[in-house]
Amino acid sequence: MHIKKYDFDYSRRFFMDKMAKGAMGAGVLTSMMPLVGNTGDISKAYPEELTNIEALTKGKIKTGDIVDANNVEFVKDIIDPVVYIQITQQGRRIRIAPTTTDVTELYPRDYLEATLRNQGKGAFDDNGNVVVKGTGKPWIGGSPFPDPQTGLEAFANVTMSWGRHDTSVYAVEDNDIGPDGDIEYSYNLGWCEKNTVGLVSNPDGPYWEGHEDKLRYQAVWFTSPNDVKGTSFLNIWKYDQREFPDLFGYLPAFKRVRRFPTNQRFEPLVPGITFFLSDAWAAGDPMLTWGNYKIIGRGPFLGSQSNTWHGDQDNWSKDKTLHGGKKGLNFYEVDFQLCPEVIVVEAEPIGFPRAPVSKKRVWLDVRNMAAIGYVTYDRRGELWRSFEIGFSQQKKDQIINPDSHGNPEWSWSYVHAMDVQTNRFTRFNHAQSIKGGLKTAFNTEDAYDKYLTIQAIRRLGS
Amino acid sequence: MMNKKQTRLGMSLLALAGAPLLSSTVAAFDYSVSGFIRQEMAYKLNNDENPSNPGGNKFGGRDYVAKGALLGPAVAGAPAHATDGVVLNSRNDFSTDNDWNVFATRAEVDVSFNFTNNLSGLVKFRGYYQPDVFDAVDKSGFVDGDYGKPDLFGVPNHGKEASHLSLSDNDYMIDIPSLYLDYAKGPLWVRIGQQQIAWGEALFFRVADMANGLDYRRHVIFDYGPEEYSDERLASPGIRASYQLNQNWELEVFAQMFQPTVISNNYSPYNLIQTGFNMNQGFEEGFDRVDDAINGGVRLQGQNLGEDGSWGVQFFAVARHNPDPIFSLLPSGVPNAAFGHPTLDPEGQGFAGQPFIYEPGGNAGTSSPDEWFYNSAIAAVDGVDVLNGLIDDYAFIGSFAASLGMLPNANGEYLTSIDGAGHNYLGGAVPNGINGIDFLELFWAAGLGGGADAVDAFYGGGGLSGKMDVHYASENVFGFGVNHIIYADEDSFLDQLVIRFEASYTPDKKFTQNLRRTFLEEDEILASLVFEKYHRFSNEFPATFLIFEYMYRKETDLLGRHLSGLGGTTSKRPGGGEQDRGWHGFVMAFQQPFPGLKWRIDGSILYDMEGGYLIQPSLRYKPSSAWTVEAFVNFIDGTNDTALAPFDWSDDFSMRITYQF
Repeated sequence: MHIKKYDFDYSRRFFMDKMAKGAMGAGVLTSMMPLVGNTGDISKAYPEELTNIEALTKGKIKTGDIVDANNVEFVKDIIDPVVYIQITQQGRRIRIAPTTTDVTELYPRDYLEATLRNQGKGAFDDNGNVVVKGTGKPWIGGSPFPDPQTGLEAFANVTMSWGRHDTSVYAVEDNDIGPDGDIEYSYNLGWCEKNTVGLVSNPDGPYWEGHEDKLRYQAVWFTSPNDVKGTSFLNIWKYDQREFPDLFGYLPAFKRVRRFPTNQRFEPLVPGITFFLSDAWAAGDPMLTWGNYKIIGRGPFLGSQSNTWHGDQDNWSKDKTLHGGKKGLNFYEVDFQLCPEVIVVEAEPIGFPRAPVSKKRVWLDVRNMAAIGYVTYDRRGELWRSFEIGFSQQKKDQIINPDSHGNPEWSWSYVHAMDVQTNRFTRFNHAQSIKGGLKTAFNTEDAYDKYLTIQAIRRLGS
Repeated sequence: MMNKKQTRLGMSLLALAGAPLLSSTVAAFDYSVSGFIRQEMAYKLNNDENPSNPGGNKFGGRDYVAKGALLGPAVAGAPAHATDGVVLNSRNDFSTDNDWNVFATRAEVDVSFNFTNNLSGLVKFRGYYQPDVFDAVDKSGFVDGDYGKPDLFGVPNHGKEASHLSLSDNDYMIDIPSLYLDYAKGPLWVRIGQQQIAWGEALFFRVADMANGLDYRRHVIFDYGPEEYSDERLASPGIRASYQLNQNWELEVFAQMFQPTVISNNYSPYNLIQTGFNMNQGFEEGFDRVDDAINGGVRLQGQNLGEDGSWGVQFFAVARHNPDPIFSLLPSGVPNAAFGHPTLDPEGQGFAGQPFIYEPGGNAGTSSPDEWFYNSAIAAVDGVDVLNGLIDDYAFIGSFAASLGMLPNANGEYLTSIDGAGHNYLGGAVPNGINGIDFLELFWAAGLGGGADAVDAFYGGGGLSGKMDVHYASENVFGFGVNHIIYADEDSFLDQLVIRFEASYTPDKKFTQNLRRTFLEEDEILASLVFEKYHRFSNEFPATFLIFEYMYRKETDLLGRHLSGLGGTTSKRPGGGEQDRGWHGFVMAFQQPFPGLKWRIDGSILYDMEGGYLIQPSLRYKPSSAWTVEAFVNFIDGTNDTALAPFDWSDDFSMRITYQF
């Protein structure tokens, strides 16, 4: 229990003052990062009104409550505008979970340890790329700017390591819902990303020898339905974030791998999907192909950071929670929690000719720098699309998906992406496996050979 | 035993019933099943018929009046002919009026397996049923003229099947284009089994794509353009192994059982073999000669090269039997008493030593000199040199020429023109020298006594039908490719322009030489240059895919026919420079998806720089995962100078409706 001398508006005034002064350290009552390093418990950094939704809403909404069209007005200011539309117009419900104060539940353990170990070592070189301060060497793991002072620093945290594992293989079930509420398209896709620098679980150090000029390898391939099965793309990200990745693709019709241009990143990969490469992790493009990063706000926010891994369900399915939309098929009912402090960052695409996006706005939870809210605006400045990612420890009651140390894994759990102008909706479920036999896995040793070479995507094609 | 009607019904039920039953992943066995069923139709947009079929034969229902110097009207300085103006032969009218080029139901089922972390597999079943909606002329059996429905799919390579793992009848084929195991461990990947192999980066123009032949039996190469050759490329059993040497370089080898290219069957809608030739024994014996041959290749490929990773290269070598057939004539083995000797050869066994027979029935064979030269021109063959070859290669015809007093000139030619002058005057009987028409008319000379009826009665048939031998020549192909992506100002048209160049060299490649026993041998060079780009023209629409491809072929046209055979007409031999010009063609194509990718328009133009073209605009509508509708139009035009001449007749509107599961 916090001392009530911090009245209801204290935190609001504090954040306004912090924005005005440009002083950007995370935490209200005290700086958050030392708490993270010392105890992992950040509760002392924030007054109760930022860790307890009941306090924030003066009792209108309590932990365990469902937020729907009847009570969403009480939290309207702390949800992203697309979630507000979904709740008010499409029958979406969210369930309020307690605020996570133990940050070890908000990271993969190795990544958190690297973040703490390397705190203060991150810097930008003359080109704007992240380096180890004073050495010019590529980044060595964890969030390079855990207490970001600028929008670019904040975005470096989400760009340098997407999934917070050295290697991640995701089995993804996609369903794409039209304005009538019907599931019009369904895809199964595999996604693999492997960092080449900034490694946190590699016994040989933070770099993959011989690959230090790159940031990551990333592949996406479809395993269902039949007409896209085998469609595979391999992105090889350069470390220099001013440059676009090299892109190679295997299209089943062509039966061979070919190099593709890579600057068209605002296109759906397959029909019906409301997802662009640019959306991935809210940071799907090289960081410096976007510009004019600026922090436009700080404050509490509702985001999905816990309890959305359904390890007790077959294939980690969330289908039992589907609701909303015209046919009740749009949304997973997921837990949102009051995140005490988010940084709201805006950026504009500067490296793309005739980009249909004018800017993106991203809500980054300072506890783990996860992008818990993301919307884009079209060239007219109208709200266009969202890419809401839910994160969670892979723990459900007594069931866990353990990492190599026996701790619960941590990863994304679902995505809700919506085009509010066409009312098209896409949801991803992070599944245990998909058609074709691919299974979700972390830090597997053979991922590069299996998924991340030109040879591999040729083999993955049918 | 299931009769044909039952078979059709059975196939349709199988395809329909299979959809719901096979639509889900069967987790317990770690395999998954998917597939589709599709109705695909190509409706003809004109009244032209395939000239290679009896129904489209330009000479159907027409009389041939002798016009040569020996049997035709009197010429100055020569004696008058009593037969002046007499009909020498007539061709039966088998004119057809087809509405469809394609009307087929296709079903494909894929079963993917995962056995272990390193071992997986795939089997793909393909069924294709083409009901008898065609206004087709019954086929003619060589020698006996035995009628029967055209067999749209049977080719006697493997028994009566065109390819490995195939089962077919007149109107359906079921095959397994993929049946393989994948073993992947570390940088090694091995694929064993029935598989397609596609190399190279150029689309449509095949320079490095040398491993497999193509199957032309369904919609030739006029199916939905954005799918390139995925349905046509022929699989065969083989081993393909790849080793990733490091992050940039990969070494790949393959060894694969020989599988010939499959040309559209005789009498089928897209038949390319004129009715004057019989193929079946040729295909069978041609394949039997090489049925144990193994094609092999090696490729070293580097990608993401250079300081900025913008370069890629590949070097390849393929030792193979060329899957594309080359042709010569073959002794028919069929005697003809009309050409015998009353005492020395009463059965006319001598006639059996040359390739042609007089086909009974009237729907097969070449019925006149005009038809001979017309068809030769379409087929890119020098009809005059075919005659010279017959005189050279076959004693029976050589003796006949000698009996006329014909001698070769300095070039070894007995005949030098279709209807012009020659150098053999036949003792003054032909003041301008005998030409092709004069010589050919002699083979229907019996018609002087009563036209086609007399020809039939005397020779046992009225159409000259040649027995074709098929060869698959061995050759080595060496080549390389380069790709490069340009990085420029982001608003520049050059930014992210991909350039690809490929070239291959085949020394001593063999080509059909006007159906002679000996083949042409030349060094073939193929090259392609490709410019490819995604360009966003507006904020609202996704980027437009644009591609421009240029191809150069030193010796052959796009269909692989030697250039020396192009440019002929009914009165002009080919060879007026065509053989030295190379073949030059280009493709321009675009692809414009609409927002959401539910709709997409495509357009492509293939242009043969001698004047032929194929234009295919298309529209794709994908309203859901399950359903896809594609509509496209093929406009084809080409003179005998061009590779598209054999398809000049075929303009069609195609629609494909697909349900996938």
